[in-house]
Amino acid sequence: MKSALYKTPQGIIGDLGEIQSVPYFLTPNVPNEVIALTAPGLAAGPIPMTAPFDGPLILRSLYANITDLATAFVDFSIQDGTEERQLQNAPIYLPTILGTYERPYYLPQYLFIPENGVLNMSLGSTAAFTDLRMCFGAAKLLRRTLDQSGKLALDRIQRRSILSIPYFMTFQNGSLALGALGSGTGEMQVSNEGTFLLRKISYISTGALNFNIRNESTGESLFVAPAGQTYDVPIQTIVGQFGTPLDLIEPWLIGNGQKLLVTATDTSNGANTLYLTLSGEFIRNGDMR
Amino acid sequence: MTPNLLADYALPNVCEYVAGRTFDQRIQEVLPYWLAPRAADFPLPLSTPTTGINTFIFTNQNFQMGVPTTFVATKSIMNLNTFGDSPRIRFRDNQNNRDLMNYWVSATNIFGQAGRGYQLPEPLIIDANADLQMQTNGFFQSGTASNRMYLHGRQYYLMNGARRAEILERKRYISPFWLTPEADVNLSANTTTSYQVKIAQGHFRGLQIQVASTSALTFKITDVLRRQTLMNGATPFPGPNAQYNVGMYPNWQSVSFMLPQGSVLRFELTDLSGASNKVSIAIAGQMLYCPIREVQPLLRDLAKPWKMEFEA
Repeated sequence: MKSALYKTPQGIIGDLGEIQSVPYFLTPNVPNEVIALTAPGLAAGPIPMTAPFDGPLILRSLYANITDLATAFVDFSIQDGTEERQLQNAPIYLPTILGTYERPYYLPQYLFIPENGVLNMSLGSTAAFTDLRMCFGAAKLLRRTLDQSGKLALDRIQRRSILSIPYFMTFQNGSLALGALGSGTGEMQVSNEGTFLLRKISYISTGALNFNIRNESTGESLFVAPAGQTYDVPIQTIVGQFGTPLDLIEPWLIGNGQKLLVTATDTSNGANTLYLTLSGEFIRNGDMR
Repeated sequence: MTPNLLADYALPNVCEYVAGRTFDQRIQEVLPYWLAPRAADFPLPLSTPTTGINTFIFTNQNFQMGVPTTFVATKSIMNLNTFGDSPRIRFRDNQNNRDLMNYWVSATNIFGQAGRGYQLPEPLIIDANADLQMQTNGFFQSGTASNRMYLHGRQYYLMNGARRAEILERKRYISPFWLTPEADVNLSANTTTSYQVKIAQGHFRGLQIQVASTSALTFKITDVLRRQTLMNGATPFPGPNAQYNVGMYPNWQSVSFMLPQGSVLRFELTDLSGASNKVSIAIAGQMLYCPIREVQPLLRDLAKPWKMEFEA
């Protein structure tokens, strides 16, 4: 198997796999673009981020700084030469993925962007914010230095990316409002075009609440009492705080067209709004081989 | 490559199975352990504010029934009273006479602000009676019990000779390393300054990127030898004045960054704040000490399953 050659100050080497890629940071195309929405109801975008011409990207993490995280909804779409694809069923409440601490967010599944492919981001706001800077952490594959096994791996990743993308699911209208000590049910429906593999749960709420998630089609639920009946548990106990995502130990497969019912009960004795994001992988119907 | 950073201060798992050893043998051999600096060098907490260069020595003086032990630190924990103008740090492995940084790196860069455990990019291995030296340069605020520093990992007791040799062999070829601009970076308002660093000690394998600053900036990193800029535009970093910037989590890179010996890295830093800006930027990773042709076999060797215990 022939390897790519690489010239180093110590001589030419031919079998160092690690030289086939470099870390890469993908930012909006306008250098150091600061996104500002100065009044409630304003929208920005689409803001394009274009992959380099000399090697594809594999996106793994996202990080950003924003002056007021409690206001923005975001949606992402990818243009990779096939068709424009959305990465969510509805705009995502930004703090549920970025958290209220400035830590990197690791995508539930890598996102492949071919050379010159474009990732678009749009933002909407319910209140003003003035200063958002963000970028994605990625690996850039150096196509010219790929050896035979690198080329095979790239081919596999590229074919997989046609059917599999990272995906976010949230309430169709953005949030679930609860009255003091009141209950409510929100719905999220998987499209008929594929299957959703749920890997992470994250939320922001304005008060304490109990919750559960049930698959309406199969009867499966996230929490099951010993007697078999479902029941709601405190969300903070299970998922944590500050928008920190909970990584499920095993992914939960939600089939074509199936509907998730999210039940929630306020325990704060005040009006309460729940923003919930389920992240995972959307696998389109088709042959993955 | 993407560990759960929020869970990085878990106890090292002493119950894991190691090939060829029974569980009973394993728990006799290994214990979780915390190593603090020698109190005689620098008693912590401090009673008075301290500036200038101070030296701490971490010595593994642990014996069991006269048998030396080996300490493998995978995490470090530091609490400082203030991080805004935190001291800068240099590690040096006195046993092997190796510097583990090419220049001072901000304590905030490495340990963050939240007092969380920091996962080292490569374990620090301190043999019986050997020293790890940490120097601090800069302001330590005095007072409460907040100034503290520990290394955390596994202490190997009653170790058979072959096992000890395996651990020390790893240390011979590889150490943690922090690569940073070789100057105190104080950007003037709205200016851009470039710094070049040559990788001289060995072959560097970058794993994390860490930035700390007194206010907002953008940065751009270029691998000069391969003509690869690591971003499509200047990448923002907000700085501790930003509302949510309290964690200082290092960003684990999506892929390791291999820089053979002799490579040149350029950091281009631009102030956004309109005021002078003190910046510390570092890439943390592993320094590999071997001929370039042996890097690939070495990395393959490091990936053997039994060596995974070094990584958590």
